[in-house]
Amino acid sequence: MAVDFAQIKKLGRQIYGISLVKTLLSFLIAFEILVIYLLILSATLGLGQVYNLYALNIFIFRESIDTTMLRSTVSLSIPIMITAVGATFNERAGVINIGLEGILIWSAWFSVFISYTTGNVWLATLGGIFAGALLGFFHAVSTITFKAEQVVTGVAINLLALGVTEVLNRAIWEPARSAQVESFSPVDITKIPFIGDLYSLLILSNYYDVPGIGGVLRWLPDIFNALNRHNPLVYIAILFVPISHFFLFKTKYGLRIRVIGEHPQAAATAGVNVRLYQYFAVTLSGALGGLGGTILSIGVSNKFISGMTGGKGFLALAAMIFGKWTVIGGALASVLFGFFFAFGINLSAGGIKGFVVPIEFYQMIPFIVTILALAGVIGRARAPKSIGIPYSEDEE
Amino acid sequence: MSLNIGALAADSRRRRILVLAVSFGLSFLAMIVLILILNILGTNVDIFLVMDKTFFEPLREPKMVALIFFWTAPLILTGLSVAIAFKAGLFNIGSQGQMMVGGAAAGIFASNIVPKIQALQFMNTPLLMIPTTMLVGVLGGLIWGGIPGVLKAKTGAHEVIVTIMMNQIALSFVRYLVVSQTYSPFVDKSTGDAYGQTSAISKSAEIPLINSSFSTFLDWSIVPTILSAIIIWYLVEKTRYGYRLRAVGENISAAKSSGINTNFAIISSMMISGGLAGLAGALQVQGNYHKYIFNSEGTLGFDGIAVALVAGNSALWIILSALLFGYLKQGSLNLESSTDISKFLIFTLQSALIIFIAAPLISSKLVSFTEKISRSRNVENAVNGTRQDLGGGIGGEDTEGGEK
Amino acid sequence: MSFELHKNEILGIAGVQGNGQSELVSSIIGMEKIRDGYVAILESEKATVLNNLSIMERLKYAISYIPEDRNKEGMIPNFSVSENIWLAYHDLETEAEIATGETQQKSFLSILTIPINLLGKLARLVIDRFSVKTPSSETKMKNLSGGNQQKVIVGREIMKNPRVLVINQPTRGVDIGVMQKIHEEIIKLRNSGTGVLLVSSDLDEVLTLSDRLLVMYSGKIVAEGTIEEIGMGRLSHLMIGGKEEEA
Repeated sequence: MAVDFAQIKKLGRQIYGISLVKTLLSFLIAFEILVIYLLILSATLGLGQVYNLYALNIFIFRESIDTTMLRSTVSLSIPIMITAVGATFNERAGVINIGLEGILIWSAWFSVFISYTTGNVWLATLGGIFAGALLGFFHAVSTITFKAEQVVTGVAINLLALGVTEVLNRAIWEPARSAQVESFSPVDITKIPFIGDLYSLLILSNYYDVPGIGGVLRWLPDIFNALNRHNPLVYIAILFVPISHFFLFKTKYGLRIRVIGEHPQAAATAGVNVRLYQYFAVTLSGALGGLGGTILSIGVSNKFISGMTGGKGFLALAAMIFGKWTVIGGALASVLFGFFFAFGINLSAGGIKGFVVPIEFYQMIPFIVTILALAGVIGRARAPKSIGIPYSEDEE
Repeated sequence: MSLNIGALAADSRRRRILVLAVSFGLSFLAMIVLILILNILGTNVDIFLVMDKTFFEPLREPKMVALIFFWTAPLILTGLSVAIAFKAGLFNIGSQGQMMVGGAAAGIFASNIVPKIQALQFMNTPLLMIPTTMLVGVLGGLIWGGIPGVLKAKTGAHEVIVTIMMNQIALSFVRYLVVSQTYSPFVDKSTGDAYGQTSAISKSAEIPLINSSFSTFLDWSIVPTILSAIIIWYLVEKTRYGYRLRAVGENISAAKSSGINTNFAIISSMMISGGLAGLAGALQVQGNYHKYIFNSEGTLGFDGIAVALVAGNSALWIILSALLFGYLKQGSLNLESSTDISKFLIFTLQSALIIFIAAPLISSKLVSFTEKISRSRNVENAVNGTRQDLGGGIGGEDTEGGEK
Repeated sequence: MSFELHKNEILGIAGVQGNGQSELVSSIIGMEKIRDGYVAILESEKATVLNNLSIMERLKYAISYIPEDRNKEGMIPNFSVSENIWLAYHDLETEAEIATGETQQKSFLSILTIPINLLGKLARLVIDRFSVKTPSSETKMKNLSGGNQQKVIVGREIMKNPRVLVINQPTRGVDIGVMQKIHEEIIKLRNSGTGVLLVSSDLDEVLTLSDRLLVMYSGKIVAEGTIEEIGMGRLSHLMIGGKEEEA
């Protein structure tokens, strides 16, 4: 039975239907819904001042493009983003990995541990990536070789990671938090010779004093400024996005992975070692998740605190679904989630004068959005056809 | 996609018990490995002390044994919650959040709503308050479980992720209700240090202790708990509803083409599941704490998963399974209070157990291996016996024992 | 496409697998939604359109269905034989309902009961009449041979004495003896008034059993009539997509 790779490619293009206009439109709609949500909350809870819709829109917009806010968005979305990219790999290969949260927890902890014992942040990063890959590999063994129910194993990995990190943490330091360890310092791109000067040109705040244009520029998001001065891992992670996209969609290895997720028998007949590729995809996704966890603990912060992952692993899964199982889509969705997180922290700290909505309602937003995404409110998407089904050679 | 929890689908009861035993053994081994790692890392852990504190101490004093029963009650309910969802082919991880919402609802109802509204004062008697508060808890959990159920039935949204999200939302929402000193009307502001709890519930809603001189923990909430187990058992095994539920869980296509209303099965089972967890929350409030305390659930919701799996999702076996895990929980608490080892060690054991039960190939490969050895030994004997009878000359060593 | 199934007839659909037969059957029974057109039951001048009815409601109109893949859709391997038989009767309360085929309006509380005696009787009836080889009615379905499994599934549907029987692959994976028995029973059912819609990839089976034929290709009906009217040669020609030539 000849494999129609051409047809599979056409299928891929149908799924990879991200148009820029649609994305922009959805961002706008999402923004407006957010504003309305907050308005209703402030009105019903009767706390603080209730603004009208127009005024609230202006205030919230101004807060959203605030550079500090954007910078937090970047810090918060990157861990989700890299994990979502990883998830795209294993789901495309037909394996569900719910254990991403566990991978984040475990790699966050392990990288802190390595940093603690060696004092070297780069070793710690390698440690974190390795830790993630290990857990990914473990998931692969259980589900691919031992054919366990993928969802159950994933949940168990989450619980396992939770338990093991607690036990180890309490024994070494104290319950629920670690000591402070060596972490990454921010990198200022503008200080890099040659590239730095080019980069400075793109930073809008440098032009704020220019008469005329300066006023207009203040109403635009200063994106490149916000992308500056993060820890180096962030930049590495961002690089992984186009690399992964290229690998998954433009190389024959990526194609093989995608075929395995749709129709493993076809791939096997074409001579592809299904098991090997699945193992690779799942372990890779663990490694990428490991990078994400490392960023959480020693990139953005400098210690491990119990619960610091706060559901980001699940949000990565949601981002991937939101992004219709494409790398770019998942990345964009992760930015959206990061924005919601940053938004909550910023606004509840008193961003808008007199406007009071308790922080918990901001915290809920990413999770509510995830549910809406899963329920298909934001457009149906199709998972790889053969997902979740353990592949066995002796199936007809 | 119907859940295929391998170990539970094993053929004979004997095999099932064997696989369970091996799974326990392997998980136990994993726990030992963790202890060894701790030792390597420098914390000196006396393995014998760990074993003693965790496994033997809970059985020594009657007060400890009473505590085991104390933990068993909520575990029965969360176990039932997870189990009935499993019966319908759904994986409900949301029992943690459902318990939280149920408990918070019951707590707020009994501490803030009834005492403060004049019109409702007629309810302030135990006869009315106790069941009503329980009902409020059930309703809270029912709604919290029903939402993922409806989403699964109508949109196919995967219940695992949705219930996890609901857990997180519950965490935030209940936090606002009970911890947010400045903003929530329900928080106990009387005692300056009272962080994250409602004020005490009305005395009429409290569930009394069975025998205060024997134990200050055991209360009558064990009664609705056991009753729930019996009712759920009957519902699942002996009613038409249960039959349809099980059919949906086993093979949803076959159920659908037989005209069974699969949406109803999915939604109702999630509601019942949530309601059970909510009841657990309410009973903790009414019987134990007499107020709702934020995060008092601990890991009870997740423990329910292990309880259900070990019991094979069978309502009556869950009672025993809950007893086992209650015993383990008390052990873990002993461990934490007298050593540097976190109670999460047992949590780790439970998680490993879930993996081994869900991937029974690991355990059952071991079991099959031993069976194969004994079977081939029998065949060998038979062949040798026949060879002797015929005076030699049968195929020799390459006579295989007809294995599939 | 448009066709009618009459009482006392076996209408066979001849066609190579994958040309739309399964989809047709699925949409009649309600497993798939009908996007265009309608399915209706006609009885003594009154027509009832089935499009918007749920599967359960359609089954109440005395339509029985035997799916093509017994493992995926027809049975529940972990349930016992009698529990599998019950799949066809699970909304019934009394013997009277089975006999007359009329279901009474039940209270919601009926979901709390199972008429155990009825269940046992039904199981015995099916097992005996169809000679199902099983140690007991409580044996798990997965322990039966494929042929016996098929007999249980076919048996429970035929015992309902439906007005319409839709079968897809009645004898897939069964031996000669079972095949003969099933064919016997289908013919008996037809004689007693049922209209049978038969889909099978076994052309011999279709030709042997059917009174009339529909030939399907690529989702359309390309011929209709008895085998004499269509002619063997033309039949095979049409089944593989050959176009009609001008005579």
